Parts: sequence; C-alpha cells; structure tokens
Amino acid sequence: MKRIRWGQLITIVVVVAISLWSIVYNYNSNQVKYGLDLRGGVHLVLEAEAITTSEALTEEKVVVEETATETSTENNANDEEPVEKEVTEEKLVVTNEDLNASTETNQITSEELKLAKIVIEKRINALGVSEATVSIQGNSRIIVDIPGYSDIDQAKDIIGRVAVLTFKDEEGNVLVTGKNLKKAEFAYQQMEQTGPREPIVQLEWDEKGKELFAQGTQNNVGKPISIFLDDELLISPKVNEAITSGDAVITFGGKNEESIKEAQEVAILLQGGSLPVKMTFLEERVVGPSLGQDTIKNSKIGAIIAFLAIILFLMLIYKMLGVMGALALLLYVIIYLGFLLGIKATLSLPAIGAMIISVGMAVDSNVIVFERIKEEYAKGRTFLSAIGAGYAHGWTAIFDSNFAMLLAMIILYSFGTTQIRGFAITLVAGIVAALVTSYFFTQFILSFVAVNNPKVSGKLYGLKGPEKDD
Amino acid sequence: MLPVRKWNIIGYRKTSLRIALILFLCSVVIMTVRNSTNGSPFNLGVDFTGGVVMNIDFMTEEPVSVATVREVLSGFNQDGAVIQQDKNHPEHYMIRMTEITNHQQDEIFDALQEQIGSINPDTRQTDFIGPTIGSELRKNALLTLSLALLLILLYVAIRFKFKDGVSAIIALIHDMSVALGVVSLFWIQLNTSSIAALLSITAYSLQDSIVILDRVRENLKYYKDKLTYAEIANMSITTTWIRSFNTSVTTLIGVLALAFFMGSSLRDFTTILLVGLLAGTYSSLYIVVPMLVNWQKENERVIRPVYLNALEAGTTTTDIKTKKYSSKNKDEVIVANDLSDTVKKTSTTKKKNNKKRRR
Repeated sequence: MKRIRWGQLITIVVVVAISLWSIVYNYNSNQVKYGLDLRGGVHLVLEAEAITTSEALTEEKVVVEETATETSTENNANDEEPVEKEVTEEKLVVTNEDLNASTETNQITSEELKLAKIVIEKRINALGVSEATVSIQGNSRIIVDIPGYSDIDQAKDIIGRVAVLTFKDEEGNVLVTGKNLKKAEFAYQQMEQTGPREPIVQLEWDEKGKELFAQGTQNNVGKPISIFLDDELLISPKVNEAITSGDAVITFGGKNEESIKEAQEVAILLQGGSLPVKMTFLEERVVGPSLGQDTIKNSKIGAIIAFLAIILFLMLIYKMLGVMGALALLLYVIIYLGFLLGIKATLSLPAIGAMIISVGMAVDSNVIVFERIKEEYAKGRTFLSAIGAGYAHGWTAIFDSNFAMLLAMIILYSFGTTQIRGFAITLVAGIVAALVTSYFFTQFILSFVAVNNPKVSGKLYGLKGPEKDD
Repeated sequence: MLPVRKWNIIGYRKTSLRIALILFLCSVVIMTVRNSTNGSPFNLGVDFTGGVVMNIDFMTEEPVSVATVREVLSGFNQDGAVIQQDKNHPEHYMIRMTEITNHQQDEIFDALQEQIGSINPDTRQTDFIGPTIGSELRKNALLTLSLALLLILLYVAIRFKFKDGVSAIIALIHDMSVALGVVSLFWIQLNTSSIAALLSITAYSLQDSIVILDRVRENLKYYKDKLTYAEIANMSITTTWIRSFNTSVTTLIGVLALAFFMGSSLRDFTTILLVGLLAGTYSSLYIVVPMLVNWQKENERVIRPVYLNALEAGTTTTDIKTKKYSSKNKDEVIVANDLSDTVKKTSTTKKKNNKKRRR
C-alpha cells in the first residue's frame, strides 16, 4: 500500500505519449471527424426516376408511409414448389393505398422508395461511415447526409456504386449473381394443411439464372448457400434438394415476429440488389455545420474556460491535492482526445454530452479519493497512511460505478443507432481515461510525495488532523 | 466547511421521499396533459416525425449566419430545426422542420425576409421529408435502454444487494421522469441531441447512486453490530454529501460553460442536462438510501452498545464501557463523533472526571 508503484508511472507515460502522437498525427493529417452539427459534410439529394418535378409534388401532398412493409404477392403457386408439397399461398391484403399507384408511369411507389432508402443505408453502414443519415424527401427523393466528408465525388462513389448480390457456396465460389434474379418477394405460406402460415421469401430466376441456380443447388445439397449484398452476408439458407424449376423459397423456421421481420428485410435487400428504381443525383452540396460556425468557435472558448474553472475550483477546495487533481485532468484531456481521434470517433453533439459527463466522472474519482483522504487524516492517520487508505477505500466506489456504466454502454453500443453508438464510445473512452489519470496517476504522484517527505504538512494539502481533546 | 456531519437526513426521509414522489407525479401529470392537449407527451423533432424541408437562396449582399436563421426559427417553436448552409454557395440554406401548415410556412418565409433579407422567390417552396429515426429504430432504442437498465440492476444486485439495485433503478427513473417532465412542460423538441442529454443524465445518476451505495456497503461491514441500519445510512449520506456537492459543482461548471458560450442552439441540450444534474444529485442523496432504510424494518432490532442507548435516553451518566470502547479502537470513536457532538462531550467530560478522581 505504501510503496511507490513505478509501473503506474511507466503506464501513464506510455499512454500519454501514444495519445499525444495520436493527436498530432490526426490533426496534421486532417483526420479528425466531426458530425454534421459541428463541421458539416456532404449533402446529397437523389431522385428516383428523374422526370418527376417537384412543383407537381408540392401541390399533391402525398405523405410517404413509413410502415409500408407489407407487399402484395401474386398468386403464382405451382406444384413444383421445391420445399414443401402441398403449398397453399394466400394473397396478402394491400394495406398501403400508395401501392395502388400504377408503376408504369414515372411515379414510383413509396415501397420502392423505402427499399432504395434501406439499400443506401445498408451500403453506407457497410462502409463504416459513422453517423450518416438517410431520409426520404417528398415521394421520389432520398436525402443522404454524410458528416465529415468534403469530397463530393468520394461520397457519390459510395452511394452510386451498384450493389452486387452474389450467391456463394461454402468455399466462396460464386454460383449465381443478382443479375439473373428476376424477383424476390416476401409472402406467407401454409406449410401443412392445418399448420400455421409461415413467412417466406420467394425467388424467381430468369433462364440463365435458372440454369446456374439448378447447378449450384445440385452440387450443394445439404450444405448452406450464402447470399451476400456487396460484402455483407445477408443469410445462408441450407439447400434441401436440387432446385431446377427456377422458383425457390427461403423459409425462416417459425412464424414469430422476428422471423417475419427478417424475411421482409431479406426480401427487400434481395430485390434491392437489383434496384428497380433508377437513382440520379439531383443535388450535391458541401454544407457547413448545422450548429453554425460562430457556435463552434465559441464552444472552443467555452471548453477552455470550463476547464480552467474546474481546475480553479479543485485547487480552491483541495489545495495541493487539487493541484494534483488538476494535473491529472490535464493528462485526462490529452488521453481522451488522443483516444477519440485514434479510433476515428465522430465528434458531434451527443459526443459532447458524453464528454461533459465523463469530465464530471474524472473529477468525481478525484473528489471521492480526496474526501476520503481528508476523512482518514482527520481520524488521526499520518499523511502517508491517509493517502493509502483514501485510495484503497475509494477504489470500490470508483470501480463499481465505472463498471456498471461500462456495461450499460456496451449494451447501448451493440444495439443502438449510430448516434447512440457515438455517445457510448465517447463515454467509454472517458471512463478509461478518467481511471488512468484521476486514480492511478494521482495515486502514484501522491504516494511519491508522501514517501519522500514523511513530514509533509497536511495543511498544505487541505487536510485537518483530529481535533485534540485537551 | 458545511456542518454536514450533524445533519439528520434519514430522519427527514419521509419528507424527502414525498418531495421525490411529488416531482414524479408532477411530471406524469404534465405529460398526460400534454398528451391530451397536444396529441403527444413530447414535442418530437424532425428526426422522429419527419416534416418539411426548405431550400432557400438569400439575396443579401453579406452571407447570412446560421445563428441568425435559428433566431428567427425559434420564434416559431422550431428550435430543433436542422439548418445547413452550403459551403460553396453561402446564400443557399437547407432547413428541416417539423410538419407545419401552409400558413405557418408563409409566416416563416415572411419572417425570414423581414428579419434577415430577401429570399429568391423561385426558392419559396417546401417539400416533405421523412424521419431519419423510424418507428422501428425508436422501438429498438427503447428495448436497448431497458436491456441496459436490466443489466445495471443485475450488476448492482450482484455487487451489492438486490434491494440496492432496485433503489438505484428507481432513482434513475425518478431523474429521467423529472427531466422528461421538464422536456414536456417547456415543449422542448426531442431530437438526437436531446436524447443524448437524457442518456447523459442516466449515466450521471447511476454513478452518483452507486458511490453512495458503496459507502453504505462499507459502513455496514464495520458497524453492523453497533449501529442501526438507519444510523449507518445517515452516516454514509452525510460523509458522502460533500463529495456529491463538489462533483455536481464541477459538472455544473461544464454544463454552464456550454450553455453560456454555445448559446441558443444548445439551449435545449443544456436545459435537459441541468435539470437532470440537479435531479440526479437529489435522488442519490435523498432517495436511494432513504428508500433502503424504509425497506429495512427488520434491522431495527439490533444489539447496540449501552452508551448509545443511554445517550438517546438522555442519561449521559455511568458506564465505564464508553471509555474502554474509545480507547480500544480509534475508528469507533469517530462513529460517535459523526453521530452527535454530545457523544464526544460525554467522553471528554468523563475523562476529566476520571482525572479529577485520580487526583
């Protein structure tokens, strides 16, 4: 407890050095990523079927329905359905009236637009562009905002790239591609006479596809076939028997909500591999930060002033202990920034919220320990022993609160949306940086001081001894 | 230094818990009223509901700043509007707002013209825009949050006690509902950044609660047989009070700096943080442990040292045990100090008496 832990110093020096390098490197190579709110980015408007005019659209207010997930299916059941023998299909009721709009004209259906949106979203996410948003505008346009980019061509390249749908066997050989897929549709199917209706995806191939698919399934009976959209694995269903008719059905093993959702998504993506709508770029702009340039400039001043005020507060309350805390906070900022820049986190408003909280947490670790040292010193312990006790007792509180937070953030990260992910990652970085600086660094430096000056004045450190009885 | 150590926080736990309950109920009432008058308890932003987008070109000589545009929009309760300025053509603005009527659109156009400068008439039009956070994503987010809370409950239950976990979660719900009540009352727009603020509150509240619970856990270990649960609880709260206060002040400094320097565009964000911070500090001190004391009735029957009983009964006389007790272990004397000054006085007077007797 009382000895100086040199390992701590070495760890801290190494971590700070790496962080400094990360900061300098990322700043110099201009790789700091900011969100749309802080820096702006590329704003693209895509038009599906370029001919429709926006004037016409503003007059007729057709609201795009978000929940239009059900599709109508044609009753094309035939006896050669490969998976089950007696197949009874039921036609789905068309719930979305927009679907009735004829597809022969330039007007595209909201279903198609939604599909295009999902495909674009998938494509952007697959490329690891964080915090990009895709939204539908009017009834033929899609807006894509990619933060942090200023290169329009690069951004267009990402979106404009045609997604390739491939069916691969276990060895990774391509059996057939989406080019030959005529149709992929979501439907329900009755498996047995009295059985439940299960969600399925129907595939329909063209002549060439029929041939390739028949060959592929013949060679892979009993084995899975993996379906990829670009590099992303969508699903790998097992082949029950050779399918030579060109019509195939993918089942999802159940009729619960999850498998229904999965089937719908797979159908949309399979269909999206061969996008039914033609997308053209209508607008392409580099936009400034949505918070405004002035705000950004002011926020930097604000951050510096907040930092100074916190340091001042610490020193006022905890004297020399506060000075150590301030020093730790300085290192904290370096490590924190270094880490965030290192993992290429996107700095945006949610991240700023996380930063404030984690600065609070960093200071909190200090405050917990310092208060404890004060208490222990007041009980009559020596300076050295009070410091040892303060860190030992403070540890459980710091560990438990940080670990609980870490768990919560892992959940948020694994299930959250991109913005929530940004929040979680920023907070986790803060937790780790706070632990290293506010606990380990101050522990090292205080034990160092205490061991080398056993007669150090407690007063200098804002400590009061026990009140004497006589 | 504040005389925190002498405070009897647990003694007033009924009041403090009632205040929390009232705050919670107020929030629920506010949300219900909003729900019936406005159709939704919250003012969902364009991210959730979709709305309209304006693409306008200003025809002013000087480029217009985002802040001035926001200023005008906030007059129409569109604080949460997403405002984007083209970097290469600074006269061009893209503004996304929640759904508004044609009449309101005209009003906004007129206000922008009046207060900023003329707008190219060709660009005086709007288009519909879909939500970026769809209903599925929303459901997913709720599920995620619930899962996170469950995991926290589990962790606290393992490291502490199940009751402690429940108490921490209740405090968390209190903080969230107070913040949401304020969001509903002032009709603050819910968008990605206000969600982030709400998440930050959750994190802060959790941290605060666990630090206090840790102190109770530790004190229970040392004083279980000597003090009642309520006494241990009070001691734990009073000793961590200063820490809670100091931490809140430092975090507050950060939030206020943000509020002050980043101005109106972040007003909603900082308001939520501020409310959450206050609620979080209150709940960790005046809800978490007091609630545990309420659930701890059976612990009232505990073996106590004689001197404490005597002290409460008002008879500070007799018993040599006190002296024995204080000389044996330093830590335990401190307990007495924490509880009340009278204990110390008694022991010192006794010492004096002893000295006199010896003479």
